[in-house]
Amino acid sequence: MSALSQQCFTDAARDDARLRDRLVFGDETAFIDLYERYSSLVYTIAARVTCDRRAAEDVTQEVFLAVWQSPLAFDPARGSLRGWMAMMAHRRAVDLTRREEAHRRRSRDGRLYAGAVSRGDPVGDQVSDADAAERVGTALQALPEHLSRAITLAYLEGLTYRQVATVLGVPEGTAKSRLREGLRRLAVELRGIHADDEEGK
Amino acid sequence: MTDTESHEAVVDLIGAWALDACSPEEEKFVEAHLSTCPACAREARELREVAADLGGAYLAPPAGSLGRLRADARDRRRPATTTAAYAAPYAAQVAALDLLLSDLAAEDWQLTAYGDLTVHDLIAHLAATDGLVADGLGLPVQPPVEPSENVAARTTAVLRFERGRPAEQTRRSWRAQADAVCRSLVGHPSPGTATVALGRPLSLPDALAARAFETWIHGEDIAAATGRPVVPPLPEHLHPLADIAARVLPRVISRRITPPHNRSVRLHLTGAGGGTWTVPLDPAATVSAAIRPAVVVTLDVVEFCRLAANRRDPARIAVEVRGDTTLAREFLAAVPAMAPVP
Repeated sequence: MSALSQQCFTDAARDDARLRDRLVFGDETAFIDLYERYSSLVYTIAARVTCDRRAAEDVTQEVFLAVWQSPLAFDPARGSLRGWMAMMAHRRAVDLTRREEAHRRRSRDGRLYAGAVSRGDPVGDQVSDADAAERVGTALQALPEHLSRAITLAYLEGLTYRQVATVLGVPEGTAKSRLREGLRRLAVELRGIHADDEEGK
Repeated sequence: MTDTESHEAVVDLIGAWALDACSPEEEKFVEAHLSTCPACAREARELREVAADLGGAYLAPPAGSLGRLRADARDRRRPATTTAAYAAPYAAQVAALDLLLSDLAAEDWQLTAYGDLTVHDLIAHLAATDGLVADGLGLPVQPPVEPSENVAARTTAVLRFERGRPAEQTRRSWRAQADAVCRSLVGHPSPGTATVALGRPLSLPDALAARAFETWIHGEDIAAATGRPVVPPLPEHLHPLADIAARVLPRVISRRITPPHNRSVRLHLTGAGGGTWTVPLDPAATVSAAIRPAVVVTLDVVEFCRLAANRRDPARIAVEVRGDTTLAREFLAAVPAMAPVP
């Protein structure tokens, strides 16, 4: 990591820790700041995974209430607040869809693949098309299909790696290594994106 | 499983983990490993950052979501009560301590937290002293304050009262009284001249800083006793607490330090919320910052406050001394004497 990006990393971590601490001290304006920063992120993930407006809104409410009630569950040393909020949103959304799985088999007709998702939108108005998420979405489509499909099945459809292996007809070990390999390639893309952001400042 | 075997297994699972595509058992297994393996922790962090972006372009949550959410949030956990600026550190400490208490199991309340006082006792003790402030502000207080009741007598009376009640009730009335104090200070006509008796008369801003200080320190006692994490005050809340400690010091330390008393100590408190204070050894003296101190003592502001609360050993605290080292030693040894009992 370069000295500059190291510096950005620690500044961001300090900023996250400060917001977390304001929540610990019951500061309602911190709660509003948190919502303004991450509600779109949280809602988007919930909406993509559940494909249901109501469910996505419920997940969003649950995530923010959980942070307000237990802000110390977030540890700035382990990663960014943004990554943590995304994880909370994704886990809750996936839990919800896995519970519903028994009732209805969801279609896997490509409706949820990244390409389709960023074109048409069944669950909300797109508010930004110039952020890192959009570019990672593009990078996801640029990955070899065997990697992008594994990631899409796991993340957007909420399948476990065992289920991914079954759907793709590959051994479980192959599914696991495709998920890691795909994410690692996207991480390289993301580093490039953040470096561009720094140069642009 | 050996460390190497478990490392290999986690490396294998880490992509699936970052996508929440593991079984709950595997998830726990990965997370246990992350706290011991910096290399895996780094990769986990990086892959999580990428996963956060996989939702693609942002969608806006439905209009009105925030309004509903705020109402629900207030029901689940009461925010810090709106109050005068000088009482904000107190309101914040009360909200943070209440958060900690809301997470305690019934048996945690009976743990010894400081001296021979349990967690339950400490909340009763905080309520007792807060009650003197509430009474001074003309608010109704339970049980009623006796004329010229001091802090110790008040604590004894409230402990007797609260020990007969469930801890949850003590918590609720402590919080309700603190909130009433905070609310009553909004637009208080004369915070500069009004005083409340806390051992001795204090201006309202000083009394509220002292209450913030004690609430914080007992919160740390309770966190330590119950194995919860400790969060020091926000820098903007910490500064007035360090300030009141530095201002009270001369009165407390002069009789514990060898004369001559026409000297002063420059206290340089580092870290966010810190600052520089010049502390005369003679409480009657007024010193200008231009006066040359006999010694400069530099230490972390949070650690200084803990020392002032008698929660640190002056002989072991990390400190840098320039000048008269004997005076510095006597000074540091005298600082904990300002702590109220308990």
